Parts: sequence; structure tokens; C-alpha cells
Amino acid sequence: MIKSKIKVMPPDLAAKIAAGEVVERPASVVKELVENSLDAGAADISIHIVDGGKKLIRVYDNGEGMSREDAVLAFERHATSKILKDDDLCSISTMGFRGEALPSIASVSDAMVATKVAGEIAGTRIRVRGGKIEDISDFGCPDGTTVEVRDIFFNVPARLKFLRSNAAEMGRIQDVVHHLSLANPDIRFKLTHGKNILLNASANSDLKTRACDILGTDIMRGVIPVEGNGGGVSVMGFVSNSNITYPTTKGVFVFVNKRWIRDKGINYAILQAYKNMLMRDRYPLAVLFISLPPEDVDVNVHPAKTEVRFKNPRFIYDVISDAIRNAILQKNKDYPDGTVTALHTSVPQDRIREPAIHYQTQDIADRQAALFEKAFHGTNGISFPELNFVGQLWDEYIICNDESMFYIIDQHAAAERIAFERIRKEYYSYGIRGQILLVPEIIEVSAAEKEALDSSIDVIKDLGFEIEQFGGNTFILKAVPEILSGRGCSGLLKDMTEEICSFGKAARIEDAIDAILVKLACHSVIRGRRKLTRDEVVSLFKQLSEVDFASNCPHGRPVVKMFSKTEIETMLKRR
Amino acid sequence: MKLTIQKNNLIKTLQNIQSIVERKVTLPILSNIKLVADNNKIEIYATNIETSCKSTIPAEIKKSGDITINARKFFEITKELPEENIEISVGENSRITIKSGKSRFNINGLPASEFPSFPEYNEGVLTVIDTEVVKEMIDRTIFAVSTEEYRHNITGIFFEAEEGKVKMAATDGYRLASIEKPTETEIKLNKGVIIPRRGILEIKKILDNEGSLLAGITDNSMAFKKGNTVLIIRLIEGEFPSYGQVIPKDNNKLITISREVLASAIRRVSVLSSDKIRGIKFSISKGKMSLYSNNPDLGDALEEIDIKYDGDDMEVAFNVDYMLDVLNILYTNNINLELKDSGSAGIIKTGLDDGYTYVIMPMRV
Repeated sequence: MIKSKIKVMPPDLAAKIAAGEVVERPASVVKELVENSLDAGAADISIHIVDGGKKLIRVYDNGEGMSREDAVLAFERHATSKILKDDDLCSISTMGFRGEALPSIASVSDAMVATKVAGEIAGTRIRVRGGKIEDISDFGCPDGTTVEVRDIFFNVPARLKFLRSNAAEMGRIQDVVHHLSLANPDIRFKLTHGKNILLNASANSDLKTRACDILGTDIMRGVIPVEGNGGGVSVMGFVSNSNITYPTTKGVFVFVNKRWIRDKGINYAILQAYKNMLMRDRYPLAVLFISLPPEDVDVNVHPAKTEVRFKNPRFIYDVISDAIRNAILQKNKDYPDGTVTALHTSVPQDRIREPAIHYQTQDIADRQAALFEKAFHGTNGISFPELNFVGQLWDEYIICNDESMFYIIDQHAAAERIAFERIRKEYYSYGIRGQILLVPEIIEVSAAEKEALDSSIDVIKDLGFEIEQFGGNTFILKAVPEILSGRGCSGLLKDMTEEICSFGKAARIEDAIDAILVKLACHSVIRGRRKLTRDEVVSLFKQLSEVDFASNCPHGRPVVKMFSKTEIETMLKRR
Repeated sequence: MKLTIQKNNLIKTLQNIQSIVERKVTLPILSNIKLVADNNKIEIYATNIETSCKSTIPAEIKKSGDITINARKFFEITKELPEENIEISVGENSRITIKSGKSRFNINGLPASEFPSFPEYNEGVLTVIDTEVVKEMIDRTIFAVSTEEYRHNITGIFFEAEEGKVKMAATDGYRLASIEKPTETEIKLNKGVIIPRRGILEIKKILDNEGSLLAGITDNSMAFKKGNTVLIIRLIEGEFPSYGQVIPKDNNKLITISREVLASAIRRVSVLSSDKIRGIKFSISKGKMSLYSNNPDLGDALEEIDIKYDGDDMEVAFNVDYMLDVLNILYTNNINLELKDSGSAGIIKTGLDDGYTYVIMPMRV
């Protein structure tokens, strides 16, 4: 007799495998639990971690709690209070919805839930170990829900082995809590690791106060509020000026409908907005909340829900880019009343359940806001023509001051930025001329790229490229912008096509043109040491004030560094 | 190795090969040249793999042998030596001593065995070709060669031979210079070859040497010999664009202009063009051409010149560099400009039966 090799998995094994998708490491447990707390309308969430979450994860919330029946049901796979029919999947506005979290977590750990609905006399306590319910009993506990997860992966040694050091796992947990608390500044968040309090953010904060808690007041000093909308999409939040940058995207926090996500298209849109202001391979700080109708975004791409798919990505990227660019422009222009409107409004209030209780911490929040306000106004846009010229350092740097600040200006960088803006304006105002090719170049593209290129032919033409369809997936390049002749244009065009394809927009051509204009600008202005007369400095300042992005040279180096009087006094121990 | 050599004999060769020897090399031996002393002559070898050169100079050999020495230092030392007589000897550990008058240099060499071997060629297959013709053909085309490394197939001069004719062509994708000359010697060439620009520049240098020019194809290289020097140049692999097709046949607007008048008008008007805007506009009407350039930053310039033309009015824009390049290398008093419309290629010829055709693409304005 032939023994059959294929067998149906026993349910507990299937559960462990399914758990793997949701529960990857302690941080994913924290994420799921905190999201549940948020969905339960909690106003206070405390997270206590021991040994990077390997030993214990405890999440307490003061949300609405669960009845005994609901609590038992919550451990059933795909039991959820949030979706009941197919249609609901298209209008998800809660954080969790897959009904996977609790059973998944319970199947790979020793879990305990204690929950009580307000008004009930007693709560319920359920203990589940390795997916099996071991004990259900009445329990005296405060309103809300507490979930304790001990000995995660005790029954999945393979996964246990792949966990990293306590510190590394804790770092991930911290990231998760940061994301969730940034998205919910109205809710109190407390995160402790053993005896250390890592975060204690008061309730009823607005975004900027919350951001100060998480990112530090120092960093928040230089931020620029961002606000923008269009076609049902709205963007709000803040970005750093070009002084604060990171080599990775770690300072980029993007939330779509309050859900933290990672999207390389959005990262790219952010970078585009900073064009020529950041050094190569540097990313700004950006906290952005993007709101759009739930039906325009698919969040159910990945069990961890950190990736989303937009119905109309190109449009959304544009709205984001424009909003940031406008904010930066505004910041550079406005003086002295650079407004911080967007920061005053907190995150869109579209939560479906009202927070239960608000803690009385308003005064602390107010004080923080005031502090922040002060710091923020301190570094607002500089009015160059009003600066008092003190002198020149080593014939390379201009020293000047106003009432409260002391400035060092890199004269070459300043002159370069002015020249670049001028040359750029000229170049585009003159109308870009195309140099016709002797032998047209043939470009082969993929089917997806073909569509992208087809729809952008006119835009590309405005930039001096002349492209024609040549049948199939082939295009012929007939003319290139004069300024780019003598450079690898078919390669550029190919890169650009890929770019249009993946980001819906091509900046490649403009970038390539800018790169040449930067070179021209660099060579057309004062370089190295030069003594400047007062008149020259005055004229330089006047021109700087007329330039849109005066704060950085086109290579991305800062034009100006400043120190407040207070900083100098502190430095010299006067304060 | 020990020998005595005359400074004058040595210096020109050393100077010529400096451009072959690379400054930044991954292979240190390539910044050296190889000296081989034997039979009352010294052979000097230089190579950058693409181009290899061998020159033979008479010398008084006291002890034969070989060595390699840093090309640049050897040249700089030789140039400055006080006396005509130079004594070169190699001691232990490839240490080279150069003596002249009261100066003495000790230079560390590298053994000749490490130097790449000179490509083999068969002197028998070389045919004599007219030096003057080659010189003219190179001079009239080399300026149009592309300097964009990535467009490999047009970074050299295309050379082909048909019955009784030799042809050269060069392009950078925006203009094309081509020339064909009759020849009496039979040149065996199955298909055209692309000679890299750097190799062409080396050929130009040896054209002044005594004796007749010999050339031939071996494998994927081309060999040139003139006087005491042999050059082996590795050819560029790839297809040169079939340029015959891009030379328009139906340009019906024929203009004759004084070359000098046109060139100086372009130079004047282009003062107001800039690094980023190199185009100027040519408006043509009966007997008259006006040149116009405009720079939003500075202003504009207009000049009118007399031409011989009897057709319809038209306007076209060209890059000034592409115009001046060709006007500068031509030598006739007049040139012929053949146009069709503002979007089609223009042709410049000398009006003589010299086989020269220059094609220039207009700019879209």
C-alpha cells in the first residue's frame, strides 16, 4: 500500500505558521496590541517591556474593554469587531481589522488578557498558552484592557533564534511606539523598558508637542509646517529645513489615514520637494499626515500593514511635493511673521470612537507649546538686507548680526545660489531649444514604460526632447535639449522613463539640466578668497533676499549658519 | 645595458610618446617606456594597450640589454641635460644611471620582461599611401569626432576604401564631416574601420617624419609606419552609422558666401551667445543673410552680410561652434551652403571638386 505523503496540518501548526505573518518579532506584538487599544478608544496607553520584549510585553489601556463572551471570541482566528461583510473591507478606518492579531500572538506565547467594561462589577481574565485557553475567570481590574505577552516564541524555537539583542528589539519597539504616538497626539503614551521610562507623552497634545516629546525640542526648532490639499487628498505635518538631515530615511515619518507606512514613492516625492537643497544621499526630517478617502487606498497589501497601494499614486505624490515645496518657499520668504498654522491644528479627528477620558495635563502641554513657539520663531527666515555687516573672516565668510542673532555666511555658496537661480530662470524663460540629431536614436522600452512615455511626450518636448513613437515598444529620439547635447541623452531618457513609470513623474531631465546649470553657476561667481567691500556685501544681501531658496547653495551646502545671542552667552557661561 | 646617445636624437621621440603613456594607470608598468639596446640602435617602446609605438634611434651600444623607465621623468631629465652626449647604463636591481657632463641621475627602472609585448605586424602587408592626402583627410574630419566615451562607435574616424577611392568620416551625432579622395594604390579593406581619436592624433605626429607613409590592417589593429616609427592602433569595435543616408540629396536652396565674411560675422554675433545658448539664427533672403543672436541676460546682436542667393526666404538656427569649426579648417575663399528648411540638415561644401561634405543639423527654435 502506498502511504499518502500529503496530510492536512493540525490546527495548532497552521496557527503557528499564520502567526508568523503577523507576529514577526516583539515589535509586531506591540504594534498589534497598541492598535487594538487605539481601536478600543483608549485615552491612555502604557506599554511595559522587559528584556526587549522577549520576556514580557504588557500593554494597558483605558479603552472600552470587552465582555467575557467577546474576550473569549477575540482569541478565535479572524474574529473581529471591525469588519463583518466584504464591503467593509473597502472602507477601513480602524487600525486593526484582520482579526488575526490576538489569536496569532496567543499561539506563539504565554498570553493573558484582563479586561473590564466600564460599569460592570468584575472584569474577565483569560490565560492562553501556545494557543490553548488554559483559564477563564472573573477578575478585579480597572476599566479597559491589559494584555500581557510572556515568553514570546517559546514554542517556535526557530523564530526565537532569529531575534536580535534586547537593545535591538527594543529599538524596533520604540520605533513602533513612536509612529503610533505621533499619529495619536491626543492620547497619553507611556513606554517603559525595565526600570527606564523611554517615553512619557501627555494626553491632549497637539502634533508639535508630541513631536517634541519624541524627536526632541532641539530638532523641532528648525521645522517648517506643511499644509496642502487637492482632489480629496490632504497633507499636513512638518518638515525640517535643510540643516537637519539624515543619511537614511529614519527621519521620514509618513502616515496615511493615520497609519504609519513606508512608501518609496512618497520618500521620493519628499526629496523632489527639496531639490538642490539637500546634499546628495541625505534625507530631511519629515512628519507627514496624508488623508484620503479610504476607498482610494488599499491598506491590506501586507499583514503588517506597513505598505499601502494608492489608486492614484502620481496625484498623491504631486500633492505632497507641492505642499512641502510651498512650505519651504514660504519659510524662506516670510519674515518676520512666518506662521505655524499647520502645527496648531492637531491630527485630523476622524477616529470612530471618542476617547474615553482626557487626562488633565493641559497646562504641561501649554507650557511645552510656548517653549516650542519661542524656539521656532527664533530661527525664522532671515531678512538679509536688514543685517548689520560686521566684517569678513579670512576673506571667505561674511560675518553679520541683527538684534538677537549672529550669522556666518559662506560668500561663495551665497553667490552661487544667486547665480544658479538667475541662470535657471533665464534658461527656462528663454525657451528650451532642441538640437536635432544627425541619426535619430532608437530607444526600446518595456510595455509599462511605453505607456508612461506615451503619456508624457508633451512634457518631455517642453524640455527640449523630441520623441516619436516608432511602433511597438520602440521610440525614436530626434532632438535633445541644446544644453545636454554632448551628453548621454538616450541613457538619460531611459532612466527618466523608468522614473515616470515608478513615480509617475520625471525629474530626471530637469535634474540633468540643473546639474549643468549648477556647474555654470559655480564657475560664474566668486570662488575662494576675496575681499568684499561693504557695497558688495549689501548688494549680495539684496540679491539673496530675492532668491527663493537662499538657505543653501545649489550643491546643498548651507549658505548661512547662525547663533543666537543666548547660545553665545551660554557658551561663555554668562547664563 | 650601456650606451651613448645624442640628446637631439632622443628628445623628439620622447616628447612624441608622452601622450601615449598614460598618466593615471592601473598597471604601473604602463607609465614606463621600454628601451632595447642592440646593434648600434636603441628601440623605444610605449603603449597604452590601445596605441603602441616603436621608435628606433641610432646609438653607440657598449653593452646590449633592455630596461623600462618612467617615461615622464626620462623626458624631463633628457630635456634639461647640459651636454649633447648622454650615457645611459643599467646596474644591479634595474637601477638606471643617466650621465651627461657633470650631471648624474640614478633612476629605478623595472625589468623589461614585465612590459607588454609589442603587437605583431607583418611589414610586408603595408602599402604606401600619400602623406599629404592622409594629412588633409584627417585635418578636415577629426574636429567632428565625438568625445563622448559612451558613444563608442563614433569616438574615432571611420576609414574605408573603395575601388580607386579612400574615404574618411567623423561625427558627434549633431554634424558630420566626410571626405573622399582618389587613390592609385590598391588598398585591401573588406569593410570600413574606426580608428580611435587618440590614435589619429599619434598618426598626425609622425606625418612629419622622413620617408613615405606605410599603412595596413592587421587583425583588429591598424599599423602605420613612417621613418623610424611604427604605430599599432587598436581599432574601435562597432558599427559606424551608415552616414551616406544622412547626407541630404534634395537641398535646393543654394547659397554662396565668402568664408571669411561669414566666419567673422558669426564670431561677432556669437559674442552674445553664452555657454548654455550656443545657437544663432540665420535669416536668408535674396542676396542677403542676417545673423541674429539673443541672450535674455545681456541683449541681442544682429549682422547682415551679402550672399549669392536667389531662392525663397528662409530661417534656420545652427550651433555656432558647429559652424565655426568647419569654417576654420576650410581654406577656400567661398563656401557653398545648401539648405532645405529650418528642420532639415544643411550642407557645407567648398565649391571645389575636393570630395568634402559637411553636414550640420539645425536647432529647433
